[in-house]
Amino acid sequence: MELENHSISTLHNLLIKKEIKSSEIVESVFEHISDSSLNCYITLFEDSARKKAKELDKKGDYPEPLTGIPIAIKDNICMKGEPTTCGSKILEDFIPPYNATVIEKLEKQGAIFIGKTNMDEFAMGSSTENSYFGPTLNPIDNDYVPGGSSGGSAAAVANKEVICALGSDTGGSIRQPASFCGIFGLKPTYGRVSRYGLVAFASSLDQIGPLAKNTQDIAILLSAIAGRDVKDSTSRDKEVPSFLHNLNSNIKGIKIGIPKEYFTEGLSDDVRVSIENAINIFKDLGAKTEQISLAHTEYAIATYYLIATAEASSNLARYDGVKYGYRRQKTENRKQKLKEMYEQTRKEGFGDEIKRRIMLGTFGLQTGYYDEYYLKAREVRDIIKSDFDDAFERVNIILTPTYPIPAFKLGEKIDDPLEMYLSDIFTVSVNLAGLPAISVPISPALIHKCGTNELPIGVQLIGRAFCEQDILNCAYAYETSNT
Amino acid sequence: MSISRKLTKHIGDLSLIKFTETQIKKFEKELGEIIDYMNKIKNQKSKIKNLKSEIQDKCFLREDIPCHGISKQEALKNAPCSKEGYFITPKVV
Repeated sequence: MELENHSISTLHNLLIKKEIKSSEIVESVFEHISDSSLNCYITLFEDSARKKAKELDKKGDYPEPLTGIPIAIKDNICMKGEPTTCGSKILEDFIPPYNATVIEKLEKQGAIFIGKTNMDEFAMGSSTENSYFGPTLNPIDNDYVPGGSSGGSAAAVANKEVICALGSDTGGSIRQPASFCGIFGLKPTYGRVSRYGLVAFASSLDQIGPLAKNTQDIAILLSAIAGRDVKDSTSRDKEVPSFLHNLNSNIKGIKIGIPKEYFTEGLSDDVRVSIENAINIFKDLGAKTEQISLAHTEYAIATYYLIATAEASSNLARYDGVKYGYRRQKTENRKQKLKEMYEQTRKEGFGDEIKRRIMLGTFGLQTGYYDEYYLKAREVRDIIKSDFDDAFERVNIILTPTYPIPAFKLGEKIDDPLEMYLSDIFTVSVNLAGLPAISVPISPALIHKCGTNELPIGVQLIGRAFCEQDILNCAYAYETSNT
Repeated sequence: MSISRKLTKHIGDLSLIKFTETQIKKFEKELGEIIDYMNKIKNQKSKIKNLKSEIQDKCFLREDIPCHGISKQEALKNAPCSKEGYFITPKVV
């Protein structure tokens, strides 16, 4: 039996019935990893994963849906005693002295950690090419990128190198790689999941979320990691239901808004045709669709990149070669000065994309430019959020493409940072407004039928704040209509 | 507005990152293009007076109860250079 093909719920049922052992699932996953050349992982926990699986099998008790299930963790989420590199040279040897809250929660559930996944350095990028540890390849076609920044997590799930994974999403970093790799990826509402132990990129935008092969698995993972945490003052005290038990594929009468601003120039024909077909499926399922307007969409990229880089320039100031991480040791036969050590450490420790964003963020925050750029971006963020508030007065869900094009080739965009930023147009607004959104893969058969290429394409469903159940239900209805 | 070489160098200084002349030239061009693009938000005006975003409004504080954090030894474990319980930096004065 190819265990790595199965979903969390199927494996859980097989474990309970004693038809399989957790060790067998772990072995099948490691087999796929050893056969793979995708570079999904930065660190593997072969010994501890096998040991934990054996202990669980000995007890023979699998009380929670995730007990004995292999999971991969993006390498910007702290695990006590294990390397957490953020895909960066500057944190190559960093070993956190504490666990992120999501890790504590998963440990309590008995999940088995397989390894830490590759990512764009400090989660800054859309292709996983900006990793100090080399790029991850797209499992569907190795000449293409897997998306980013959670590209390692997405490729690992799609290539059966793990059952499910966690990623982080600041401007699309879960949804876009999920879309490129043909899997499901959910960015929860800001405040739904604790950020304690997530290495900060842009604190007002970051959220941890799940990547998996189907909606049910996403629901299980979200229930497992969500909830208020006293260690994260921005986490919210909202009830965490069993998203799995509440899944309902009956979406008759649900109102789905289609924002006209998302269907303009820049959207590839492949994506447009696939999304139009997906909209027809939602109509067939009984949903009502209507055109809406998110009028300030064209300002989203500028707003996002001003806010995200400003927060990043501040968050990344801590990497100075003193408390942790890489330090440039003196090489010349003279006394090294403090400022010189800082500057050399950051020069050698950070990659080009990080430097570019720190510079951009510093520009927006400096005296004389602060009001004109950073403060203005804060203002426009509120306008963008109010566009969504107005739209959700009329509709329950907003449907858009996840990304304007299917996966692009390795190296194709790396030398044009602005073009790479502009492509994030469909995902960044969701983070600015703090809303939940899921990327759902359009079935390969449908993509094929549309006469487009064979690379995966994702449809994005955006919900009201803390209404993850609504988007999960729509995703579930769409997914089960394909089977 | 393309940014000048002088301003690019100044931002590099504020960012505490050492750049070569070639890198400064490259970033001057790239940042100039990106900032030109960012300028499109300048004329947008919000009707919302209070700029405290919802996210910041709803932060909560926990009770100030003393508890044990990580030990000094653990805190120093990742330091590239430490001695007798202290982080060591190059000499400042």
